[in-house]
Parts: sequence; structure tokens; C-alpha cells
Amino acid sequence: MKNNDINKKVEIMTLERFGRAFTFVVVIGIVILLVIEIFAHRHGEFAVEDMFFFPGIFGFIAFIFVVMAGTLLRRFIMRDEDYYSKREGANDDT
Amino acid sequence: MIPDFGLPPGLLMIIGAGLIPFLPANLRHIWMLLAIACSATTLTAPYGDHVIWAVMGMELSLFHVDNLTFPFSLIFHIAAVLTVIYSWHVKSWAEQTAVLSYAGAAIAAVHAGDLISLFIWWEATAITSVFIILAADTVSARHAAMRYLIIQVSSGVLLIGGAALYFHEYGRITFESMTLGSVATWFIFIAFGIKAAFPFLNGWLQDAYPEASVTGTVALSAFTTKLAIYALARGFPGTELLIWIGAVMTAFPVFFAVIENDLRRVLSFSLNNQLGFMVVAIGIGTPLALNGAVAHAFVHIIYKSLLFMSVGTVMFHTGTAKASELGGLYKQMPFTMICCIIGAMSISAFPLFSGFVAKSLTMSALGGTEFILAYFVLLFASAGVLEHSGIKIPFFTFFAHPSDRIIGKTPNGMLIAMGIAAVMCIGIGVFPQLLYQILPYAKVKNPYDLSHVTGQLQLLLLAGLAFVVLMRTGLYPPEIKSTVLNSDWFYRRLAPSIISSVLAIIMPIVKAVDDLIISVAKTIMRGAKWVSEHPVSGPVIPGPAALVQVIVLVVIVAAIYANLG
Repeated sequence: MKNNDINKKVEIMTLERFGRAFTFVVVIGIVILLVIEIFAHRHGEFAVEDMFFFPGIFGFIAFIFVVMAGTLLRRFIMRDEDYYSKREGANDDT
Repeated sequence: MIPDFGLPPGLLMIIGAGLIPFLPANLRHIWMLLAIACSATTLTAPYGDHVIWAVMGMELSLFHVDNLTFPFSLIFHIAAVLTVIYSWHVKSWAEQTAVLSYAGAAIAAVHAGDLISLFIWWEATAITSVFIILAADTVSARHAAMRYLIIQVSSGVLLIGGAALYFHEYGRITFESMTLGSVATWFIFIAFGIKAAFPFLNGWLQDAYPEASVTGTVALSAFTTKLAIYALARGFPGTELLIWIGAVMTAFPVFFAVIENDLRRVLSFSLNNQLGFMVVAIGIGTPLALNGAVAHAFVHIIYKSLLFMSVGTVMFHTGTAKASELGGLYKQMPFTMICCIIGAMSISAFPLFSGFVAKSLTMSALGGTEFILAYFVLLFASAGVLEHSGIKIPFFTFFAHPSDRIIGKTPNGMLIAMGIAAVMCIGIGVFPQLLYQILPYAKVKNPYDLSHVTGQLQLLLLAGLAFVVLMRTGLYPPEIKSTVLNSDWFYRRLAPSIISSVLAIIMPIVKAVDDLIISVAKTIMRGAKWVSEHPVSGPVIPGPAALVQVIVLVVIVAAIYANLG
């Protein structure tokens, strides 16, 4: 039992380390892209995309919007797991 | 020089599938690969019509080859091989037969040079794929299979109706580029739209695909929808309406995928979103855009199969694909995790992965047109793709929570198929000319320029940063066991409710009318019996006999009168 708890704690710490590594890679990548953006000319398909760091800002806002809107959408289109199966009689899966 | 089989390509696989039940289990997969190899020899066929059958005064072109058929036929053969290898451990002859005949029907459909042949193979894909879903052998799969069959057959009915009207209007049945306008072309367009999972016609996809077996879903993900993309690319290139339909397809499934708990259903929403990119490209209709649609379909089949295979392998071991029940498997399944991440990076269009070299074509084709709104919808959807397929799938499967599950040995076939697909995702990403040289239209330039690469990386990394921010602030929604309503709700819940309500009103009326008719009929019968038993004169004839004679006489007189009139 005690061993299990220790294993779980180690596992959680490993996952947290992965999380920090992921964050580190993302941040370093963004810093490199910022430097490139300052010194190199990047052009987009439309003029508005030529604005400083436009794709990055767009991606950040779009991601937040997708998650927040999705969360809001849960109120309208989320039902119990057996929403269909209790009427259609598909509970007795074999 | 092509081997002269005298048969259309996919038909060889369908015939081969017919023999699978009679083969020993350990020979079936080798037999399937042989059948696919025989069919694949036809890939060397020169452009033209190679098999023409005269049926009821019409010439059916069953083996049409041109620059558009080749890439689709090639990738369908590759997908068939991947599916067979992935399912090497499966002993069920029923699923294997269905998979090989399904792949064969899809390949045959690609080579159909006329609308009637297309209809035949269109329906064949519908029927064979139903058996793949049924092979899962669960109650929910059986229900989903029946709903799927109705929708797919409806698509076929619209197609044959459209083909008949097209023949009536134009006097030919050649499967060629059409212009929307007549009833015929609308019928055909909607038929294609059902299989391409247009908005509100998409419910069958998320309903049925996740109900198939682990291996069955991999097969299903490859063929039907991409056959529809091929059909749209041949039948309706440059149809502006497709740009807006496609834009909606890219954006809407993203929101559903965020809150969906079943990861195979998340991938089905993701599939829908990816189809949107292809539909937009077909709507633009320029050579570059059509190349984009074909390239996207090609790479999508590989990385989507890879993602379904990864999640399928997890499901094979754990018995579930629910995000709320998974997590922490990175240690137990490292190879599957790496393959899943490669699939996720490909679909997210990271540079050096296959999705990037395909999506760049569509985005470039859309750039500089007047469809600026559609362009930014696609850009928005790209961030959404990263969310549901790039991050959600690998994160909730292999990380997220600690796991103490004991995982058994993964069958070699599963590992090999995932490995091949992963290598292809990177190979195409690193050497895009491998893909570009088989595209149907003008030459395509290398997508790796500074603007494309840094622009895409900015979008993806900042979206990744948004994920980090949401996780660290606790704003990222937790996975909840639930059902997410989709357009199938209209025919699974709304329509039955309306019909029940209407029947509840109508049935008492019908019963009352029924009772009235019965009582009137009884009264007439009693009256007639009384008359027959009490004749005015002459001998007594048994009542019913007299009545029958009178009725027959009346009918004969009425018929003669009507005929003379």
C-alpha cells in the first residue's frame, strides 16, 4: 500500500516534470521565433498577416476562444453518458 | 504495360475477399495482401478507359485512369495494406472479408468513369462498411450500423436519381465536371455531401465510426469520406458554395471535439474538420488548390489512420477510449505514444511533418483571393486542430494522470503498421516532392520558405502556450463522462419524439374511424343477409352467394361502362 503511494507520487512528479519540459520547449521556441520576427521579413497571404507576430497572437487567441467556447457549449449540448443508450436499449453491450 | 485482368482494380480485391471465409486463419492476411498487390499492379495503367462493359444500351467505364484517379487509387491501396497489417492478430473472417471488399469497392469507385458505375461502387462501399461496424458485435454497434446504412443508402439513392436525371438532361452518364443548377446536379452534389460529412449531414460519421472494432475504425477512417472528396474534386471543382461549406466544416467540429470524452469520437470530429480543408480547396478550384485537396486527402489518410491506430492500440489494452478513464500510459506504451505524437504533429501541420506540406498548398491557394474570411476561418481551425488532435489526444491518453495499469504485449502487426505510418508522416514532411510529383495538376514549389515555416510555428507554439496557460490556471475543462449532442440528434431523438407526439394525436382518430367502418360494414352485412334470406319472390338462394353475385355483376357493369366511356 505504502509502495503504491510512493509510486503514485513519483509518477505525479514525473508528469509534472514533463509539463515543465513542455513549457520550456514552447517558451524557448517562442523566443527564437520572436528574434527571427525582428530580424527577418516574414510575409503572409494577406496584408494583415504581415503585422508583428500576427500568426502567434492569432493562434493564442484562437486556442483560448476554442476552449472557452467549447466549455460554454457544454451547457447546451452535453448530456449524460447513457443519453441515447437508455432509450435505444444499447446498455447491454456484449 | 499493365496485366490484362479484364476486371476493374478493386474488383480483384472483392473477389479475393469472397474466399477469405474458406481459408485457414493463419493464411487470411497473406491472402489479403496478395489480393491488394494484384489490384495494385493496375496502378501502372496508362491514362484512358481500360474496361468498358455494355449494359442495357449504356457503356459503363469501369476502369478509368487519369491524373486524378492515380493519387487516390495509390493511397487507397496503401491504406488497405496498413489496415491488413494492423489487424494481423484478428481472427474474425467476417471483419476481414468486409475490410478487403470495402477497400476494393472504394478503389473501384475511384476508377468509375461514369455515374452508374460510380453508383454501384458507391453503394458497395456503404454495404461492405456496414459489416465492418457490425463486426464489433455490440448492441450499440448494431444500432449505429443500421442508422449508418440508412444514411449511406440515402446517399446512393440521391446519386442514382441524380444520374438518371442527368442522363435525361444531357444524354450521357460520363462522370465529369458539373455545374450546380439543375435538379440532377443538386441530387448528385448532396449525395457526395452526405459521404463528405457536410454540416448537418455529418452525424453518421461521429455516430458510427467509434462503434466499430479497434481495427474496423482504422479501415473506416480511410475510405468513405476520401472517396467523397475525390468525387467532389472530379464533379464540382471550383464550386464557390464549397468554400463556405468547407469553412463551416473546419470550424464547427473543433468546438465539439473540445468537450467530447470518447477519444475515437474526438478523432471523428477531427476527421470532419480535416475534410473541411479539402472541401474548401475543391471550392477554390485552381490547379494549386486542387493539388492541395488531393495532397491533404493523401496525407490525411496516413496520419488519421495513425491516430486511430494509436488510440485503438490503447483501447485494445485498456478496453476504453474515454479520456476520463485514460492517462499516464507513456511508460507502459512508449512506442505507441511516439507514433501518436507523430500523428498529432502531422495533423497539426508542424513543419517537417506531412500535414504541413499538404495544408500549405490550400492556404497558399486561398491567399490572395477575395475569400479572406474563409482564409481566417481556416487559420482559426488550424489552432483548433492543435487543441483536439495535437494536444488533447496524446495528452489525455499518455499523460494527464498517473496510471498503474498493467499493459500486455502489443501485437506485432499493430506496432509495424503504426511504425510504417509514422515513417510515412515524417518522410513526406521531410521530402515533400515525393508527394508533389504524384499530384494531378501543375508543378508545386517547395513549401519550406521562411514565411510559411515561421508563420506556422508561431501559430502552433503560441497556441501551445495558450494550452499551458489554461492548464496552469485551471481553466482547461476537465474530461467528463458524457454524450455530446451532434446532428444525429435530429433523427435519433427529435424525429422519434415528433413522430410519437403526432401518432399520439392521430392514432385515436384512426381507431375511431376504423371502429366506425367496421360497425358500418357489419350493419351492411346484416342487412344484406336479411335481404338474401327474405327474397321478394322466387326460390331462396343462400344469402352470401346472392350477395357475391350482385357485387360481381355491379363491378362488371361498372367496368364495361367505364371502358365504353
